[in-house]
Amino acid sequence: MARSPQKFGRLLTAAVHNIRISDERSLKKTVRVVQDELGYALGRHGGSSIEYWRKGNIPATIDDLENLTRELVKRNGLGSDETLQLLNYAGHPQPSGFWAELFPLQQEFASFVVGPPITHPRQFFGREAELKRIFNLCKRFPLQNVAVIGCHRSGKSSLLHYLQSITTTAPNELRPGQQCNWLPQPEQFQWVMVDFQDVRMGRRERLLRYLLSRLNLPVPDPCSLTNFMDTVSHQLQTPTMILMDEIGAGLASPELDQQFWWSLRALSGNYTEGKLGFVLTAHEAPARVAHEYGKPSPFFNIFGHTLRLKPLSEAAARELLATSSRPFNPTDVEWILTHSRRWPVLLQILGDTCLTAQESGETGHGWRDEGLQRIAPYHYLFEAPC
Amino acid sequence: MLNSSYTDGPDLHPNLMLGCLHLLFWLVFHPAAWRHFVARIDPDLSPSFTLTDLNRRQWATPALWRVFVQGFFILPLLVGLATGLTLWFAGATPSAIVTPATYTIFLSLAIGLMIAATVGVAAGLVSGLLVGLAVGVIGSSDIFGDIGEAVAVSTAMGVAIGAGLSIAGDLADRSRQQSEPGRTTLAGAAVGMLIGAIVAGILVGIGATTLIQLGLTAIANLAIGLSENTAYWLSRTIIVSGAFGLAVGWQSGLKPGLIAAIVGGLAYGLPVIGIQTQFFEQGGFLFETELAIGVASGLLFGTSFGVVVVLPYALAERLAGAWAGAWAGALGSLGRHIFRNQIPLWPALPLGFVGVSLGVLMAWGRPVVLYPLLAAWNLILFRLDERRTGHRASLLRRHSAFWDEQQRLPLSGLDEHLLLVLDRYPAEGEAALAYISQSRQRWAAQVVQLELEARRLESVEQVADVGQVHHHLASGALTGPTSALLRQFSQISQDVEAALNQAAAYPQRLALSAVDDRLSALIRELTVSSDPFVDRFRPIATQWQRLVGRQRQELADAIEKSQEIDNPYVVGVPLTDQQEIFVGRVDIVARIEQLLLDRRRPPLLLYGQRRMGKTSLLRNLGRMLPRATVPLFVDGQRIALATDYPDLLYNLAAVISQSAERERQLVLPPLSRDALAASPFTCFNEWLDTVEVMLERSGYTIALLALDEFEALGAVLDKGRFDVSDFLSLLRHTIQHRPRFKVMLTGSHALEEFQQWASYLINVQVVRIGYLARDETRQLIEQPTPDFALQYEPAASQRVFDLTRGHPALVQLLCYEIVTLKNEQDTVVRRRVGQADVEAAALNALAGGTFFFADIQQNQLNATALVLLRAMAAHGAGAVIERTELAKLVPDTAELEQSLALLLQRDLIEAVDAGYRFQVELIRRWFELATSESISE
Repeated sequence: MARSPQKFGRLLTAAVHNIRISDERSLKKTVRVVQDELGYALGRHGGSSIEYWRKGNIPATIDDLENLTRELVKRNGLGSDETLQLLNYAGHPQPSGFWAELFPLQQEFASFVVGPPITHPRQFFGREAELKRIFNLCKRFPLQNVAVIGCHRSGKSSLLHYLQSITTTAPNELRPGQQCNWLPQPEQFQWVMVDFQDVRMGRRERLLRYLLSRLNLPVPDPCSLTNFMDTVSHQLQTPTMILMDEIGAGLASPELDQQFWWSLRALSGNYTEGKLGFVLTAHEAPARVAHEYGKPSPFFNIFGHTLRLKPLSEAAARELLATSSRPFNPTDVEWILTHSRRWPVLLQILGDTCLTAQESGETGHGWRDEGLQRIAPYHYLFEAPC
Repeated sequence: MLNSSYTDGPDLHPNLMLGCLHLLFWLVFHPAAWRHFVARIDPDLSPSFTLTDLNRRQWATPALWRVFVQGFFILPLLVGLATGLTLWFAGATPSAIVTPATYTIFLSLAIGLMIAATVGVAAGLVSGLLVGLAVGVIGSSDIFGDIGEAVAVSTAMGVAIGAGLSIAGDLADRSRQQSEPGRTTLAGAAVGMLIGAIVAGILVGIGATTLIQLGLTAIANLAIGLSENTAYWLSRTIIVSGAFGLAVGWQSGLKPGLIAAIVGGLAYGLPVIGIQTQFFEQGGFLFETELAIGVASGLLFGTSFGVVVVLPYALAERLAGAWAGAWAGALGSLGRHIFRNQIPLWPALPLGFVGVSLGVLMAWGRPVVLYPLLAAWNLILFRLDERRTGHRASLLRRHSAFWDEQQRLPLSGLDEHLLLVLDRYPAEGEAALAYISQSRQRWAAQVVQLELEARRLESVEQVADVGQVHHHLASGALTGPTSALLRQFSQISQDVEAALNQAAAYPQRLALSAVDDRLSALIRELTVSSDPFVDRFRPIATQWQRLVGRQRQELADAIEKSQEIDNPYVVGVPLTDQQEIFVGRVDIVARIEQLLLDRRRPPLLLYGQRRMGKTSLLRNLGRMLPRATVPLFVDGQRIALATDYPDLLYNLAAVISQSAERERQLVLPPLSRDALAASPFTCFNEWLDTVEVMLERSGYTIALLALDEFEALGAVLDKGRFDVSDFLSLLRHTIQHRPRFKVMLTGSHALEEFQQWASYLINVQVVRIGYLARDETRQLIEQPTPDFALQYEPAASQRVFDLTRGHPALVQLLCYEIVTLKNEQDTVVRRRVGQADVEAAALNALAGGTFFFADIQQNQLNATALVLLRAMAAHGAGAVIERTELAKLVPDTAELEQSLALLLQRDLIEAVDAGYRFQVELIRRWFELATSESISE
């Protein structure tokens, strides 16, 4: 949609009239009064600027445009579609982004998530001990490094996603009573997630650029390891935890050589005043993986804390099942707890199976057979530690 | 009952006779009740209404007629009765009683009606009664003698008419207060107005009386052709008629004035005719004659007396208000009485004036005069109430505070009586308190309210009650310092509520601390205050402070219980000089310092196993070495990133500069990458020259180039990216030709393992860094930070040492797990560490410290050494394995020798007698577990 000052003016005029007729109280106001109120809300001395903009003059600064739009939306002058139109007509550089900010999606969460890792904190359950340990390590300098070991599908990635987002998620987006005050000043903390299963993360320069951009640091040219070290060691001020998911995939990458891992160790230990820490996940001891790939790096020596993921506590498992959109009967809950052995992925699968059966009106225990079939591939979780 | 007892609007007694007395009582003691009574009859009717104010509708109101009957029929009858009784007691015969009694009845009626028509019905009721009683009772008494009686009557009449008219003044005042509630008159101005009213009233009274006298004379003189007697009575009739008409007309207009003139003329004229024509004597019986004479003379005296009241009143009231009217009317009547009856001026005039003054000032004087009696009455009521039991109603309603609204003097004991009733009959007490708070005795309400608030404040038993009490406080109902005090208590209560609403214990405690401070300030304030209420409230403030203090202590205990022990241990990351947890190594630093002073300038090798604290020591050298030494920390990993010589030397210069600035705030000159490009080594040496000069100028004698992780650099050099000899030559040249520069390598490998390094670095002095000493370890275990909260049993501390042998990384690891473990335990046992805790934490350390142990297994040993180590681990703690037994596992002697040498070199085992054993129990346990199953993964 092209920039159009005239259409902007017309839409703004309509918005002002919408505000006036939005409720009975406003109806008694003249357009001039509505304009004045808008002007005052924007920190001006009256409504002359609104009058000026209505004549087809687009606000001079992005801030003015955004503040104006925000006020119009707040006062019911603009609906969702009109807002996007207004931003487009005004030539806003990122209309969709700002529009999304004004009209956040009202997410509806599925009761059970089968397959992908849990990315929204609301759907994450348990692991209090692990979280407590990791967040406690974040509360003082130097930041210490943690390795999370667990089998495939034991919840490692979900844990990292949770670490990344729980402290900054608004309480109203969480479950009632869900703890989020793990850190005293979470906004002063940075979390950067690196998923080594993403092949792009196996490319050294790409990875370094990604890290710098996520750390809001300038990307040097060339983005060599030396320059990366210089940039981070000189400019990193914010306490930062880098979350490395599936380190094995990273170690397998030829470009992420021994020097690369040494550099990360040097950064953590000697050049960031303790402001940089790592949390990595692996399905087996990384030192062994590193050895297998011929990269016996001292990097792994800095991981003084190893957490091995186990099944959820019974309370957490019950809490997970209790979030079903249709309540399960107690015998089904007990059956799921027994057969999942409280592994989160199995709880999700069996819960989903049970819920689907309920929603399709099935009675009886037929869903249990299906559930057992679905969790059969994950029986390795029941065996000795990975 | 409460509704009629504690109100200004009580019901009139239904009995006609008692009701009229009730009305009189209201008018004298409780004018507000009269006001409410009149308002109930007709809301449009003023309390001080006159007969001429009434419209037709009001004239038709039965309730009003009831009042008239009571006031102008029953009351005069009562006056006549009183007169008759007085005469009867004096021994008069019945026939001698009839005329005086009838006389006073009609006198009372005439005066009452005339005053009711001009001054007000209320004043008319009272005046008629009182004048009638003054004339009838006192005049009938035979105790004063003729002159004395005349003087007494004139005085009593002065009192009576003054008191009656003062009702009008009082009602007028009240009406003004009602219509202008916000208006207040300053005390000085009020006194001024009163004096003005008195003077105006006296002047008008004298003037009007004189005027009437002059009028009488003038009219009499004009009566040409009439007999003297006829002229006399006619002139009087005209004057009475005219004066009354003038008074009413002056007040209410021409028509009422004319009617009043006719009525007044008839009321005076007809009795005159009757008497002059001897109609009554000729009419029949003596009794009838006596009666008729009484009626006629009563009307004559009443009207002639009334007119000298109402005309001055009307004139003065217009000029200066009701009080002036009261004075004028009263003085007018006094003057008329004295002059008309030719009573000696002395002492009649001054006594009469005193009587008038007493009457007019009745509203002020009566409360004072009656105070002792009322106090006694009220005390009796209080004592009776104290003794009352059961559900019998209290006698508080009889207390004068509820029926004598004129009483301005504080009625002592009322507050106690109120509190007594509040305790026993709360509803009645509340009603009484509400009434009193609006009355002239509101001081008692204030005192009671304050006491009630004090009781409310002191009734709290828990701090939660303190937080709720402000919802019920009535600080606004009080005034002055008490209100300010209650506001302080209220504010403190609100603060307590806010504090208790805090979600967590810690902010609760903080907020309560602030409350505690406020209470302390309040107590100090109350201590130095001289206000009378402080003795009542200081103990309450103290009580509150005690409750708050107790709550704070409970919170502190709760916080203490829930407070996790701060975990200061750092695992896996080198300690910088910012971490106070770095302990020991003083002997090693002393050794380094000594070697740095060696004239031979030997290169140093800080040798120790991985995680033994080499890097941590280097990072702490800055604060441990003398200031004249600049430690230049060079991380081998960092410079190993170089891709070529310029890059290598650039990195080296960069890390040297960073280190110099960090350790000694010494800013070294920059070295650009471009400058290095052409001739890197030459350029670097020139830079070192500059640095050396700068060091000398800055007073630094030694620059310790500490090359950490030299193996990392060695690995790069070994890969052929650089010519090793070039870099090593640089190092050697620096050592040999730059006396201020000392070189120290650190690593976990002996220099011999890097042969080229060994050939360039001659006479390397090895400084070994090993386990922490026992006392250093104990410090790290028991007091890693000054405020560390854990206490170790001696055996537990020893157990940590036994398990770790003072290996710094393992001590940190195990102690971290101990703190974590203790934080999960009940607070009762949280702060004390026993051996069992150490053992439990050791298991966690084996799992949590996997990387440390796995590194040994994966990266530091060969397969044969691993076999030997696992075999030795299986023998248990402290076991010594003989060499022969190990030889069974590795038959090849050379291989066995080589592996044992490796294990010894890595400080994993130690030779003991004829065999070997693990150096560190915790490492042995890990290998034991790893051999059996899982952890090694």
